[in-house]
Amino acid sequence: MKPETEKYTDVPTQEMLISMGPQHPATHGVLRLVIKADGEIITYADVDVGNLHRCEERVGQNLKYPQFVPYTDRLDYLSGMNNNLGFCLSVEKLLGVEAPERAQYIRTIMVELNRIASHLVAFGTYSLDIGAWTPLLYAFREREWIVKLFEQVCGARMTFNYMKIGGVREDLPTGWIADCRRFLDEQERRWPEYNRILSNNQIFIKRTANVATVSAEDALAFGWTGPCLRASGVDFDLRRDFPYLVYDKLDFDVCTGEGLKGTVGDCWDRYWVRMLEILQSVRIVRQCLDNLPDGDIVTKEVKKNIKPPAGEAYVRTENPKGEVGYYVVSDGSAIPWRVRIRAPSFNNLSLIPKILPGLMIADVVAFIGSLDIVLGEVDR
Amino acid sequence: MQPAQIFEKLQAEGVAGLLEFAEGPIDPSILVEPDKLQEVLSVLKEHDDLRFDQLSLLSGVPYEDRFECVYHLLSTVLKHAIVLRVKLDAQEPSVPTASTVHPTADWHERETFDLVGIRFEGHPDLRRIYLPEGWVGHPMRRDYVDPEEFQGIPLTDVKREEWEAEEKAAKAAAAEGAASEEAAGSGSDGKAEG
Amino acid sequence: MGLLENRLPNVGLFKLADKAVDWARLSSIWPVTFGIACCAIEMMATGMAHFDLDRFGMGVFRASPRQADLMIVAGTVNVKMAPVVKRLYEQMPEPKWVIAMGACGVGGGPYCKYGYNIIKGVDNIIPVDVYVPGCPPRPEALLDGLMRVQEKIRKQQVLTRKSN
Repeated sequence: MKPETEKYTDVPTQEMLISMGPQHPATHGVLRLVIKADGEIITYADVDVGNLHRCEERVGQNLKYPQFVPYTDRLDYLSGMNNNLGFCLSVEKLLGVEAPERAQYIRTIMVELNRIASHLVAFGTYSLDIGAWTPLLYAFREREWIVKLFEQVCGARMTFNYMKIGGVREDLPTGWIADCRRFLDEQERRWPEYNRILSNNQIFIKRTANVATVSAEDALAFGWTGPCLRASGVDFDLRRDFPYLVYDKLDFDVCTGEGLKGTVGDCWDRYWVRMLEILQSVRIVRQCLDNLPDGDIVTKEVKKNIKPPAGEAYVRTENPKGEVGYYVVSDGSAIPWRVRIRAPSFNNLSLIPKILPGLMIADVVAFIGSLDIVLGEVDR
Repeated sequence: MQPAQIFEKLQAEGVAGLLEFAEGPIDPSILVEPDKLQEVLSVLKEHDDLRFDQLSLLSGVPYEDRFECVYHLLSTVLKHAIVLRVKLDAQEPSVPTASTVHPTADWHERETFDLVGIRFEGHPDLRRIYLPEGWVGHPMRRDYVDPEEFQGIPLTDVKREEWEAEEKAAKAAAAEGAASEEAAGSGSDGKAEG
Repeated sequence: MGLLENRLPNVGLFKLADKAVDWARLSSIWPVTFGIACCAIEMMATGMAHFDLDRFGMGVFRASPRQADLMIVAGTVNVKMAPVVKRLYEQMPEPKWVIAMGACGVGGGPYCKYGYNIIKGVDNIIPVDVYVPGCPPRPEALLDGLMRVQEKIRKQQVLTRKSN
């Protein structure tokens, strides 16, 4: 009997053109991929972004500086505090002011708590993409606690508008610090659960280890930053190398991918770096709470009508997704001349046309989930 | 290394195309001739003391009399950063592509072409990335006028305008009804009095 | 319901049959997974253990619009996305309902003034049943909106004849 493959060599085959998205359960938002596949293996991939293009930069050209801060929340809506901070730091650089000590510590606490929340959503939705329902419930259980802490401070669950140019909007309410410490203890206690459910799960490892490995040269060339870059082996973290806020006074490790379950730079590494960063963020918040000074929360040098002198400023901050920067050009008036936003997910996504050919269609889902993209900032 | 030192290093290497070093305001930057841009980027990337291996951001900024393209570079190895800028013509802004040196510029340049309208010579695939095909105009330019509709899809709040028109008509009808009732009522009063 | 739709007289036991059909429909609304922007995260949070959509019967989010009867438009709809929303709406079988969630779905949201490619309110392209304001609306607000859809369904006359 002839083997199966020999029977069908004279059958003509054709490549299939598949449009994945924009409504798709596993593309993390309204992302559209146009894929040419020969059977199950991809031969060509193109990305069609712009389904969530909301003209943020045009809005930035038409509103005053404090009026633009709420719009920064909606860029990377899972880490609003980080985006608020990036914009406020750029404008503060233009004005030449610095937030007071207490405000800097509070800002660090909020930014790191938001990092934990964002990584938890990444963990939960990645597991959903791979096919596991339970980790998502575990992730949102912790996230609800963080969101409740944020709500006690600034009144909002997701779009905070908490950072002011020159400091923060509100001080910490009574009892917040004790609640936060309790949360940190619980988060540390529950972290090994995630490993038992997902990280060491054989099915998860088979689907993510050695899949879509990205080398360090490719990652740097395509503008990758953040956990994705560190998972490819590059030891670079803006918090340590270009310090801002109070990171130079704090003690934390920078986690890089080591290829524990496969090769350095595969999907499992990118996932694992995020899990390790959750623990590092817990460590940072504990240090900030222990050393929180008293004082003002807003600097008095910033007037009500903010009119920075003519000039440009670009400040880089470490978002949970990568490097976020706001390039603000001022012409001396109360409205910025240009606000250009550097979004990490935009760059992280640009490697898709290079990496995807050669993978199978099911691996596309594993790859996109490991990038942890948020379409709000890809499309701006 | 500080930006001034980086500029001196480039001058010492004999790199052509460096126009001037602007100390500020706020962020110092190196002004580069558009034609020599790719050379400058390669030297910045390959030189042992400079090693600018990542292009963080590429922005197109429209001014009244010119366009500017600003490049923010970062070195993950030596932990320093620099800003390059090129000044472009106001009527037909065009600059050689940076994607031969930094592949990440591919998508940034597509975005700048889409929104600001700067053309990048040598780009492998310069087409719109955010706005749909068939969109006319470059929205980030200062003289852009918002369209009212695009291929049949309304871009103004048509439903709200209809609803407001209905409300207005309903109010006018109610006012007319009340006025005619009053007229009828006063008429009868008059008769009763009379 | 095909042959029986609005055929039976509006009296006695038939009214009860109507109530039963309405109760069955409102207790098992299946939404389609259609999160566009930030409101999608609040929709996910509403579906999770803390606020729990499953107790309303709405926990089954279907990926295919042909298997769903509720579309929660959560996020800003722009020109590129508008034909997609319309096509998804047309693919859903009757009876279907639409919730416009968040300020962007209701009337363009914070981008209504300077957004050059934003649809100013999703009701310009598809008919909407319930509007839930907020940016983003709290999960409790979304649950309120869903309960209003349930109220709307409760009042429908499916089997009995509608009186003019």
